[in-house]
Amino acid sequence: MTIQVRYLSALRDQAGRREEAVELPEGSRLAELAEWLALQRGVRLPDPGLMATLNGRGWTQLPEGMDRTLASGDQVALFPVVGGG
Amino acid sequence: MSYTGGYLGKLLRVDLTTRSVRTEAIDPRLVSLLLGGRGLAAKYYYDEIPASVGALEEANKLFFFTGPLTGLPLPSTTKFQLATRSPETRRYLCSNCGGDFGPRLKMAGFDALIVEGQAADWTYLTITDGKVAFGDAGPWRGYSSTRTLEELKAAMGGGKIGALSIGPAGERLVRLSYINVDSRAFGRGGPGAVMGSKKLKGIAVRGTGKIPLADPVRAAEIQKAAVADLKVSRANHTKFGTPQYLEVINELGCMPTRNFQTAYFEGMSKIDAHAMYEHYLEKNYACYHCSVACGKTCVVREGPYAGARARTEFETIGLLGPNCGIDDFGAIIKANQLCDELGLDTISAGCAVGLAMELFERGLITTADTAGIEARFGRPEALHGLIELIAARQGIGDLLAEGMSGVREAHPEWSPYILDVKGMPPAAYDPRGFHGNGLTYGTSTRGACHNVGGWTIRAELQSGKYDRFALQGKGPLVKGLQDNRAYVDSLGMCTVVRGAVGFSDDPKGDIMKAATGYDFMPELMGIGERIYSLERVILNREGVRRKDDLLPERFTKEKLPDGPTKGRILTPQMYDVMLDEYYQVRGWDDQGVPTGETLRRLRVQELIA
Ligand code: SF4
Repeated sequence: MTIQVRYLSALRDQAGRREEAVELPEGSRLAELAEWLALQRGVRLPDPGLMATLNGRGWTQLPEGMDRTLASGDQVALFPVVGGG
Repeated sequence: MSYTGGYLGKLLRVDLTTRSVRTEAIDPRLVSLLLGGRGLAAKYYYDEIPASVGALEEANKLFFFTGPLTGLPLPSTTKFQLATRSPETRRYLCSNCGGDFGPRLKMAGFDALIVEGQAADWTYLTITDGKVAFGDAGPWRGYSSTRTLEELKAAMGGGKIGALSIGPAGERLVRLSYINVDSRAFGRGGPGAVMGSKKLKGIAVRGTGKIPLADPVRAAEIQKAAVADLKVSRANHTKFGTPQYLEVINELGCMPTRNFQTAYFEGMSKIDAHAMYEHYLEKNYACYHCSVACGKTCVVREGPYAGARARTEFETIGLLGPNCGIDDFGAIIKANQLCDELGLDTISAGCAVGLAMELFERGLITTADTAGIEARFGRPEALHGLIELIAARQGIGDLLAEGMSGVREAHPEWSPYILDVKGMPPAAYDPRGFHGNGLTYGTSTRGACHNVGGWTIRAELQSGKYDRFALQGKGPLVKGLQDNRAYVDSLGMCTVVRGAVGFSDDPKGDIMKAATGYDFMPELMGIGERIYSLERVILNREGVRRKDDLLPERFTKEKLPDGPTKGRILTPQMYDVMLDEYYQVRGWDDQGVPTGETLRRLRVQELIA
């Protein structure tokens, strides 16, 4: 299945790209995507300085957290924790 | 209570009508209850500005109050606070600002400056340590706010000074006018028009004194540790400044677009933080004693706006850009520069231009109202032309210069397109995408403001307790953020750095003891709550009730038509759930009036007796 991943703000520099489509085996969870991101892009989750949303919701707010099963077409966005100001 | 550092214990009062000056002692009991800055300014306003005083009347005053940390050798101790009757909202206004003015005022020997009365002719003030002089600003009439700052510097003979000024918009009593403070701003609420009504073009201050510091050795350690922390924790702020949020807020479907008709801007990649960084950034700017330097001076290097220069921020880009349909960063910098020079708040100006563009596209105004400008979304010429019309009070600009309340009064039938709370238009977040932010706008002391009202974005994305579309729990969230901000605004330190020295909603550390000799930390959230309720008492006195805490129609009646938040809305019923919970945790009744018991518990009763 294909997950759309977008690297926003300063994460764009870290990942070296603005967005990409990531292929994962059917039934993969957020945890598997996190593994892939750590290995391929050097972006580690969870990280207190990093925010990730799945279809517009913070992953920390998903009842299943990192165990959430992904579906093809899901959109993941990654960006530094917003700090206000 | 006696403090061994941070406070000077006196204020300077200048009367422009009589050209008289006096100094007054500040009651330490008030300091122990209200800290300084925003808290003390509210108390002086409460005592001296009855509800009957109009913003542009002689009886209105400008209350500039520093905090105990302002000017000390600690992180970002740049901030000071203004209270006045707002020309834009017609009610109490509080505003927080950086720059050099606050620190220099303290070095001149004063915690605060109160300006009252009305000059007979255009005047500027200079304060050199304890000495005040009145200068003739007649020749400066029509000068931009930036040029006026330069004139003030020259009048002081250069060197280290703080200065504040207004531009032509303030002179013409435009209710969206800002006060330029060393190129930072008292932006919102139109305080520039209060200065204009007083024929006060600017103030400069030089101070050579030392501000007492309770424990210089410990303060130096705290400063060193904080700078090291901020280097890491605020690295993105240093690199990108507040524009770093543009792409994020857009991706989340919350970016005001074409007068908040939608919340996703298709042209974002041309105006986001990377576009700024790669093509327009000239240098960073830091306020007084700040190691973060989040200010981004941008310059246009080529094309029709070549040479334009401004310090662009998230809110400015959001409202002069997407909210006006503009995806040309050079045109946004040019619009920002125009606002700075003419002396307009960029947020309110962006909302006013967005409204005019929507009215034009709907055929409700025509080129006869716009001096021939085709005022359509996405046209830089329209953006720039409308800003100039507002500052000059020409055509539709004269009506827009009256602020959203003025526009609604003249044209109640335009209400579906007018966005404001209490007369103040919103910042660059659409609350249909962050419902807590709607409560922020509704209950902020000064109108639809994201700062005073409590910046919910981080909590609404991260907290495990609720998400951004939830209603329950937003009352306590917003209250906590507001109380936190109220005490930070009273300290004199920038909110961006507060996390590095323990100023959270559970304050920790010994910075206050090192600065003042007294450990304020355990009391700070209570002081913040006291300040917020004192401000509410002021607003109640000026007529504010539940009906004034409601959101504009667009947020409550129109679903977002497209983008990541398609279909989202914050109906009146949904909003009421949050507002009821909020009033309850505040101890206010169902009309938003603090109960007697609340006022006693918070010791506000003693302040208003
Ligand atoms: S962080 Fe930014 S706004 Fe705050 S003091 Fe520093 S430069 Fe000024």
